[in-house]
Amino acid sequence: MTIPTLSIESNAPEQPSVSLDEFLAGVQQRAYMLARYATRGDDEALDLVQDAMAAFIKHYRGKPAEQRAALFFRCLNNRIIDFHRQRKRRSRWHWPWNSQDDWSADGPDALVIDSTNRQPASSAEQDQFGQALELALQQLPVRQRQVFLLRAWQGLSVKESAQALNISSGSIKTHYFRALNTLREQLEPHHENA
Amino acid sequence: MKTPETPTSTDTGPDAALERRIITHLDFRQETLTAETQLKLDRARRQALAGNRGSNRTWQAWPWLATASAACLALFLLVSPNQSDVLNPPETTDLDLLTMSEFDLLDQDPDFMAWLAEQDADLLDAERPEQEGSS
Repeated sequence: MTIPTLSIESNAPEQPSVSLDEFLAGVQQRAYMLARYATRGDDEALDLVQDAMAAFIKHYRGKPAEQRAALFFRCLNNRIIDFHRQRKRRSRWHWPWNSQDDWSADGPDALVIDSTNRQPASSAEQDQFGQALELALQQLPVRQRQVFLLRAWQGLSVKESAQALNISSGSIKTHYFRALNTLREQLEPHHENA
Repeated sequence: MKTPETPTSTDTGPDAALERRIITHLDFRQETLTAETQLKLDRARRQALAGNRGSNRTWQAWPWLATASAACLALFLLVSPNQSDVLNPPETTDLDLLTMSEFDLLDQDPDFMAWLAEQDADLLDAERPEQEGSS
C-alpha cells in the first residue's frame, strides 16, 4: 500500500485573482455594452457590471475557466432583470399612470430608443447601417437582444446561453431565430446598399 | 470563442454576411468606448475584486430618503394627539392667586379676614383641650 504524497502544489490554491482579473478584463467591455443596451444609462450599466463582477467573484470564483463566461453573464443577466423590476416598481409608485410600461423578459422593450443621445463617434458610426442597427437592437425584445448578443457576438453556445439566461435551449434557439428575422427585416435595405 | 453550434446561420448562409456585419459594428462600438468608460470599468473591476461595492448612482438614495422622511412626518402628525385634546395647563396657580391684586382680600374685605381669623382662633382653642386630654 502506497501512501499518497501530498503535493503542496496540488493543494495550493490557484491564484484566482490573477486569472479572474484577466477574465473580467476580457469581458467587461461587452458586459458594459450589454448592460448599456438594457439600461440606457452609463452609470447604471457600470453599476450592473460591477455588481455582476462582485457576484461572480463571490459565488463562482472557483469554477473551471470554460464555465466562467456563461456564469458571469448569468450574474449580469440577473442584475439586468433586477434593474428592470426595480424600475418598474419605481415607475408604478411614482408615476402610476405610466404603469403600462410593463417590462418582461419576453415582451417588447417598452423603452424606445432616444437616438438623439447617441452621437456617432466616428464616420463609420455615422453610416446608415450602424444607426439602423443601434435602433433595431434597442427595439428588440429584451430576451431576444440578450440571446442574440450572447450567441452571435459573445459567441456562447446554445447550452452556455441557456445557462447564462436561465432558460431552455429551445427558448434560446427560438429567441435567436426571431431576433435574426427582425434584424434582417430592419437592416436588409441598409445591408443591401452596402 | 465561437463554438461549432454558433450561431444558427452557417458561415455561408444567407444571414452570415449580415451577422458578420453586425458583429463588426458591435466590435467597432466596443473598441471605441471612451477612455473615461474604460477607466471606470477598470476601477469597477478592481473594486469588485477587492470586495468593495462602491456605487455610481448614489444620488438614487435621495428620493427614498425624502420619501421615508415624509412618511415618518405624516405618521407622526396622524398618531400624535390633537392639540385641542390635550388638557391645557391651568392658566393660574395658587401662587398667582395670592399675588393677584383682585384677590387681595386683606385690602378689599378686612371684615371677612377678621372673621376668618376669629374662626381659626376658635377652632384652635377648641382643638387644644382635646389634644391635651388625649395625651
